[in-house]
Amino acid sequence: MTVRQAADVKLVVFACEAGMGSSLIGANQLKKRVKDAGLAVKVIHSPVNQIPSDADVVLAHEGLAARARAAAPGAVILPFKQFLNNPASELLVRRLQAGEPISDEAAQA
Amino acid sequence: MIGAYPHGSEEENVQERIQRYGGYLAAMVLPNIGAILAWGLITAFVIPTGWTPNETLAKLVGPMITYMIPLLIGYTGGKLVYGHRGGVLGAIATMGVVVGASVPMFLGAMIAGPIGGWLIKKFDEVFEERIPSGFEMLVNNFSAGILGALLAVVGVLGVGPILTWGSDTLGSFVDAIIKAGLLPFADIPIELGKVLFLNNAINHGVLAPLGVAAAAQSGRAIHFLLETNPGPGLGLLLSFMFFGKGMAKLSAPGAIIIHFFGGIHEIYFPYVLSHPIMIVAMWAGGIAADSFFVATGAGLVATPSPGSIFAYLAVTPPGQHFGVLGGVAIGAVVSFLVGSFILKVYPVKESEEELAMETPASTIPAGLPA
Repeated sequence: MTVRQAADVKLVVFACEAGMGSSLIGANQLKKRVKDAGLAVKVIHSPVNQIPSDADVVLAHEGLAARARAAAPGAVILPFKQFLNNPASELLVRRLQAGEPISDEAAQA
Repeated sequence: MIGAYPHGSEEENVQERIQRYGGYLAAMVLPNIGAILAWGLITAFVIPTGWTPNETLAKLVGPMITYMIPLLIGYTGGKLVYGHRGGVLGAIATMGVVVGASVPMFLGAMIAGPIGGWLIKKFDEVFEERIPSGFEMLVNNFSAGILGALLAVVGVLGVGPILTWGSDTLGSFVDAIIKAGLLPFADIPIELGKVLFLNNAINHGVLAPLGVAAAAQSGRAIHFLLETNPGPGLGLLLSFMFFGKGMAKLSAPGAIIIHFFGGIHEIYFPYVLSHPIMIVAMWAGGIAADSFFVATGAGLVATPSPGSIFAYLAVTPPGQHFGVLGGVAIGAVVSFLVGSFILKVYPVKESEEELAMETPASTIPAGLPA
């Protein structure tokens, strides 16, 4: 189980299989939320196999979570079930705003 | 069945292994999809059976599919293994395979590229500390050159002919399946593979190479229609929109736009996974659509990427619109009817979690992201 303090979260990666479709959608939505919340966090999208090693938090669909863990063993993985309005993004922004730590266990639907 | 993601704690299970392989293929092909689409668009217009036949421009078609695209794929494959240096060796190796083959070599590139990259990587690792001082550049350049030359020769004499045989055999196998009227049932493994995130492995690893070989001969291929049809997913999402419950029902309209117009099919996978029996609706829609494609001899010029109706329109050659769009419509109608029936007879159980997650409509996105 990996934990990150809110202040240590600098790079958030939204992953999907090819890194061109749903990850781009999710990353753009999250970028907007992060910007609106005034958080100093970089959000990028990536194919699940090429998640950069300095990623702090990775968001990926449940079906790809295992690959995300394998590709980024040091990062917190937040899996989600639904792409639209996914609760993992909401949870992440909420916790970062509140200054609370992020951990794998906190992942919900 | 579906809906659970069994993980071995440390070993990979089969699904993960296929996904990893598919991810690798996707990483080689998808970044170059612009080149494939450029070829597709040009082909759709300028070949003798195209919209605006043009002999001069038609000279682009052959070299692009025979050389440009495989070389890009081979370079990318080598680059994934060992950066630019690996990419160069991948391209050289691919050239050998391409010249030695008589059909477009997508698969050949996907094999030769990473192998070329891997071999030069191994060479560098072995010889790194044994190069006499001052000879580094000489050794670097000529190791790449000599290895490249060897790989190209092996490609021409050995690999190319083997892969041509493999491609022809596989192609004949698929043709036999089509003639036996069994192709529509291929939708069963294809759709299963999709919701398990194996769609890239299937589309780019299997269907696209076969499709390109067929399209190079007749100007179109049915293979490009099999995994990418946005119709069945549209029908599924519509059935959730009218007969679903909770989050699935509320988010369906936004998902429809992203799926059908944006072409991101992944958006519907969670809907099937949350209520796995709905895969029957996908199968029904897909089999019906594929049957129509077979019956009308429909085909596309290139992979529509993403699987959006706009992309479909862009790669449909002249005379094929009835078959292609008809198949899309049939897929949507059938999957909607079957999906709606399933949702009425086996409704989704709204879990407490979902009820807790239901928030006022103002926070549900109405469509595309900003």
